[in-house]
Amino acid sequence: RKVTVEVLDRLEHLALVDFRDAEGVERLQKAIQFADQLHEVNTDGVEPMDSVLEDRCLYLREDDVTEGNCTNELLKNAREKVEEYFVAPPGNIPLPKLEERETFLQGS
Amino acid sequence: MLRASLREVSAALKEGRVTPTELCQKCLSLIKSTKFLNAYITVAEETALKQAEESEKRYGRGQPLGVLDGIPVAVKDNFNAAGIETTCASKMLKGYISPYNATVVQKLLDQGAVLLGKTNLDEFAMGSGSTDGIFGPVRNPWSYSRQYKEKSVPKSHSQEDEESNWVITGGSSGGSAAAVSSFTCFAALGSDTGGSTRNPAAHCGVVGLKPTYGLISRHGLIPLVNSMDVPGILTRCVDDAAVVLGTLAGHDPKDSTTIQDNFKPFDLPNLTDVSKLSIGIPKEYHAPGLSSEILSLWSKAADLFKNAGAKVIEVSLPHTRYSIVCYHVLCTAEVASNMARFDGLEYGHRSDMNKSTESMYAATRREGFNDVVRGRILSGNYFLLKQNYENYFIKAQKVRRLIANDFVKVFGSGVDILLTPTTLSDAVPYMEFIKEDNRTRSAQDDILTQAANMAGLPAINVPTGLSERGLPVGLQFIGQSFQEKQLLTVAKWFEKQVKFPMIQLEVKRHDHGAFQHQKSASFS
Repeated sequence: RKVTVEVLDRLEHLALVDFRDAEGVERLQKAIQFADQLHEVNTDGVEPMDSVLEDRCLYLREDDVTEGNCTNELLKNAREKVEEYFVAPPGNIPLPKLEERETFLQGS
Repeated sequence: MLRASLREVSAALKEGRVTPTELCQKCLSLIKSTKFLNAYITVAEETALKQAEESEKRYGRGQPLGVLDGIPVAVKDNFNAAGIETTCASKMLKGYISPYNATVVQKLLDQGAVLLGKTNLDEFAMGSGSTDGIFGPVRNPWSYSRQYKEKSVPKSHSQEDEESNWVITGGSSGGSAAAVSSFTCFAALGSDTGGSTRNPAAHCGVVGLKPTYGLISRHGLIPLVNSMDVPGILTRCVDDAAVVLGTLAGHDPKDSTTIQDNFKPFDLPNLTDVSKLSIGIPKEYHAPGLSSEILSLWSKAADLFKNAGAKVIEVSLPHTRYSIVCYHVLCTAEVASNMARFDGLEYGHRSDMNKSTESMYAATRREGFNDVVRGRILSGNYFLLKQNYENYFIKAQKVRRLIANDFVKVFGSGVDILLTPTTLSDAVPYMEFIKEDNRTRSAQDDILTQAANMAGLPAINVPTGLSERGLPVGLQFIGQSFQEKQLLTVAKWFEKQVKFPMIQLEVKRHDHGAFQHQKSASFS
C-alpha cells in the first residue's frame, strides 16, 4: 500500500521539509511498514499514555515576571532584523503548488 | 592525575596537590593531542581557564564551592551554554551562540565546575553511532588502546589499517563518552531519549546514567522527544555519577516536567550484603542478534549475584519487542513538533530565499537539516495526519502504557532491580557501521535501552568486561522510578566485583600532518 503523491505533497506542505529524492520517499514507506507492526498488539480497553508522570500534578508557578529584558541578547542570533523586530518575508503567500515548485515529487 | 576519579581529583584539589589551573591546562592539552577522536566540537579554552582561575582563588581562600569546584567537565552540544556555540552538530544551528545556560549547565557552573567545551553527537541527537553530525564521526578511544590493538589481526602495522579499523563510540552522546573515556574530563553530560547515554557508555567503557524522567531539568536541552528526553551523566565510576547526580537533580521552576519532591543528594553506601536483593532477568532481553559473548557475560553477572546470596529470578516484560516500534512512532511525532521551531527567523541558519515566509522556511529547513532529521520529521507528520492519528499515534501511546505496565508488574512482584545487557555487541568498525542506514541501526541498537525511556525509569550502564576484540562491554541495571540511590548502590557493588580494566590509551604525536611513529605516550 503505497503513499499517494497527494499525501506526499501534503506532507511537504505541513512539514516544510522536502523528500529530496526517491530514497526519501522510500524512507517514509519503510517507516510506515515498520510502524504497522503496532497493529499486532491488542490494546482493547487501554488508555493512551501521554506522560509517565500522569499521576502527578503539573507544576504551575505564580504568574509573575521574574526575568526578561534580554532583547539585545536574543536579537543577536537573528540574521534579519530591524530595530527590535525580526524581519520575515511577506506572509499569507501559500507554498507553490506541486507543479509549480521545485520538488522531487513533481516527476512522480 | 587525569586518570583519577572525580572524587579523587577533588580531594587532590582540596589538599593542594594540584591546582585548578594545572588541571585545566592538562585537560586542554590532552584534548589537543586526542583531536583525532573528534570528541569535541567546541573547546572553550579561554573561558575554561578563567573558570579555573576563579576556582583557584576560592581554594586559596579555603572556600571551595563543593566537590565539583575546579573539576573539568564537558557537555554535549545539544545543551545551551551561554556565550558558546551550540550546534547540535547541525547546519541549522551552526553559528548559534546560546544566550543562556541550560539549567544543568548552570548548576555545574554554580558548583565551580570548569566547562572545557561542547562534545560531538549525531545531528540533533538522532542516531546510535555519533556518526551523523556535520562535524564528522566520533572515534572510540578504545580503537587506539593497547587492548584493542593486541587483539586485532596484525595484517601489517600500516597506518592505513589502523585508520580504517577504528570503531564507533555508539551514540548519540558519543563525544561525551569519548571525552570521559580518554581522560580529557572527569564527567560529561549527555542526553538519553532511546539509550543515547547508555549506548556510548557501553561502547566506550564508562558509566552512563539515565536518571528517572522528571528528576533532572530539561530546560536548555534542545528537545527531541519531550516525554522521554532526560539529561544523562557519563563518568568513569559509579560514585562519580552519584556526585554529579547530586548536583543536578531537583525541581526546576523552568521545567514543569520536573517533580516537586525534595531531592536529597546522597553518598553511596558500600554494600556488602546483597542477600536481601531481588534481581530480575527479563527473558525478552535475550534479543535476536545478541552476541554470544554478551550473553555469556550477562549470565556470569547473574551468577555473581546468585553466589553472593541475592535472589535472581527470570521475569517477563512481554511487550519489549514492540518498544522500538512504539518509540519510532512517538519519537518521530514529537520530533516533527519540536523541529518546527527551526525556521531561520529568530536564530540559526536562514536561507536567502525570501519570496514568502513559507518558502523561506522550506528552503531554510531544506538547507539546514540532514536526511535523518528530515526523514523523521516527515514520518512524524505522516503519523500525525488526521487519517492516521488514531491508528498510529494514539495506538503507540496505548502500547506505551502496556510497556510501562510490564515494568510496574515486575517491580510490584518483589523484584528490586533488573539486569540486562546494554548493547547487542561490542563497538563495530565505522566502515561496517555506515553500511546500514541510520534508522535501521537505531532500531537495532536501541532495542535494549529504549524501554526504560518509554517507562521513564532510571537505568545505568556499568562497564563489565572486554570482548574478544579487546573492546568494552557493559551491562545495564534498570531501577524503579526515583530510586536512584538503590540503583546506584547495586551498580557500585557490581562495579567493585567486576573490576573493569583501565584503558591503555596510546596517543601518538603527529607532526607535520604526516602520520609518523615519532613519540608514543602511553597512559597505562
